[in-house]
Amino acid sequence: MDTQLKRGLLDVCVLSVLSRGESYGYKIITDLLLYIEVSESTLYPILKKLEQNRSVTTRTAEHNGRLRKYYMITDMGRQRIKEFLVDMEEFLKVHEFIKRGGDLL
Amino acid sequence: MTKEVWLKTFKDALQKMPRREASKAVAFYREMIEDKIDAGACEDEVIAKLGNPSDVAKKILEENGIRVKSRDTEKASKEELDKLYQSRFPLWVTLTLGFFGVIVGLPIVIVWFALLVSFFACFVSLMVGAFACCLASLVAVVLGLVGTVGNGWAYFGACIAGAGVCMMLTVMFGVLAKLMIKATAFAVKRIATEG
Repeated sequence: MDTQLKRGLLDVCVLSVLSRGESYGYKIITDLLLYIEVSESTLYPILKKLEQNRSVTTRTAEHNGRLRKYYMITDMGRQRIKEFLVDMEEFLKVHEFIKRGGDLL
Repeated sequence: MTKEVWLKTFKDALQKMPRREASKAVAFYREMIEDKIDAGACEDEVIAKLGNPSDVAKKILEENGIRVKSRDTEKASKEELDKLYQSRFPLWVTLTLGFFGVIVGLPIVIVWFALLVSFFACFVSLMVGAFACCLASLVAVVLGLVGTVGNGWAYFGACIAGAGVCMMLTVMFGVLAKLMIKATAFAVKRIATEG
């Protein structure tokens, strides 16, 4: 997939994973693996960005004697998913148009 | 490479970042590595898959708007600059300019400097001489050596006038020297920027 396109999608993918409940780095990557491949070096800036624009909040908890950072989606994050879906509707119309070979209905 | 070595190298490579941000990144990768190992992966494999810690760090630094100059790019940019210079000024032009610069420029600088120093020395010595004469005439007045007392006073007056003129000339010369230095600096700058 085109990297530019993938980058835009990944933010929402991560938010979608988190909309089912809090999660942590490794789990986010494995949850997404079925649909889209994400490396840790790709995930790190995404999580950082989502944290900065307040789409997620974090908490650090102990797990097996070490620290683990958990990410939770916020209302702003949910709003972002909604906006993405609306944008996608528009996008799909264009997609159909392109698929028809530019034929007007 | 072990997990700890990887993380240490990674942390060192993030030195240009604020410490808080750097330790966040290190914590993220530590957690990731440990989670993978807990999930059953072998440490060597996990580390190998992560890649070179310096490269990972470089990516993070760049995302934070911190420019990273690896030795290769530094060398490359220097070479590029050299090439640019060489395309604008072929080597022979640079060498000729340098040669003439030394042949013509050095004597000019030396003469200029010598002129300044000798002018300064002239006026200062004149001034010192004038003051010495003043002193001498005063001594003469006191000792009554120069004919009548009136002659001594006239002599003293003339000396003081001479000293005054010399002082003024020295000050004027100081201003002139300053202007000359400024003009030289300006000319050199103009030549350098236009060249």
